[in-house]
Amino acid sequence: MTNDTILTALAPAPETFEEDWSREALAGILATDRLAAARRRRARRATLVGAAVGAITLSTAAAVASGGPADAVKDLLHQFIEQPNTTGNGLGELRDPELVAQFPLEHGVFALWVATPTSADGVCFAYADGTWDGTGTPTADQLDYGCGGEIVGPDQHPVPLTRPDQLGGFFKDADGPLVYGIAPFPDATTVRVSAAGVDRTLPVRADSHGYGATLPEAAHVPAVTLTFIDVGGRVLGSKTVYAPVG
Amino acid sequence: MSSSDEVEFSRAWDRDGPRVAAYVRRHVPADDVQDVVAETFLQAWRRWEEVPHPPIAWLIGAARKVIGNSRRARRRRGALQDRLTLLGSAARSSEDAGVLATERMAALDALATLPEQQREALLLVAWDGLSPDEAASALGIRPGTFRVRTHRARAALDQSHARDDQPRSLRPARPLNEGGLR
Repeated sequence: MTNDTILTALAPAPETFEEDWSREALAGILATDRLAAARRRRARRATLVGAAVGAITLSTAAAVASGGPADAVKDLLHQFIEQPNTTGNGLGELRDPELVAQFPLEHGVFALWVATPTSADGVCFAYADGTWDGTGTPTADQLDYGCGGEIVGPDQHPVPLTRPDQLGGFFKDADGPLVYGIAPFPDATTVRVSAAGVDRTLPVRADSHGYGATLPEAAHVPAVTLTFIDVGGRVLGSKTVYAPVG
Repeated sequence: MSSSDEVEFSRAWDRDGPRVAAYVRRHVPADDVQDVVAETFLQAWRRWEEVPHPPIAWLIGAARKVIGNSRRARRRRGALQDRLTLLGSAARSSEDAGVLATERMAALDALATLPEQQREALLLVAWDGLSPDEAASALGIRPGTFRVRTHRARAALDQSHARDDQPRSLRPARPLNEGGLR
């Protein structure tokens, strides 16, 4: 017998579930509040890009580049803005996308790229929110992407997304607390994240000025203060970001 | 939620649940199989509108994450002996499979010594009945990468088969505590 033949012969037969357990487990699952779960899961996305308002995504069959993740995002966004009747249509040339932050979640990674037009206001973005494992290149169906749209502003009202530094914040959901964003100060090299029981310094990326990390120690605080610091240790400014409620 | 979703999901539970359980059985102790299956389907239900149809590849990919998370939470390390035990409990008996007990043991031994990525790739097709593209999707990798993994796995099994002709004492010893599993 060949290895393949033996291997195939050893394939386990699917086992029928115990009837009582199956009935009870299925009923328990169906009884969960699917919509509420979906709302919780999407809270970060909605706050992130809100771009749901106006962003139309490409078909998941869209082909992406075979290079690294940034190349894949670049191709994806270029295809998007060239499509008629999308929020990216008419933005013109896009600068190359820059990675804002990438860090592991309980499942997969969170990664966000932004790209700005060369001759107009606006922001295009692509992100994986636990849908990509962080290895290789994300596929089109592992990314959400779009241009512009609206985000939830500081007063919880929608505001147009026109600048990269509007993205991000402090979020607490199924994946645990996390913070990410783009430093509003070009000279910032680090951002100190502080709250009761929270004191963390994150690096600010030199290219995108982005930062981000999970903050498990921030599970019990409603907000964190971000203090932006330059290479000489000088405080450039700070802001407090609140986790969305509900 | 619509009742048609419930009907469709219930059908998936009946149809695909046992296949997911068969996958889970070779990764976790028998006592944990139902918990992992239930958690996997709970995740599927919460995002049912996003789950592709047929859902089997997605479900196995989700089960894989649930298992990985469970392992991390328990800080388990998969020793070779653990892997052998799990594979042995999942595989058909030699009588049912129509193979010699020694062939079964040798095959499971060889499978257990494969790197996990290669073993996963091979068994998703050979045991779980996924197509190569479905298996690649379940693993979150490209089909080309998947083909490379299965090719390497088969080559390693062939080498292992050849080594079976040598006396066991001549084989290099493999430490039992190597961490092939997360």
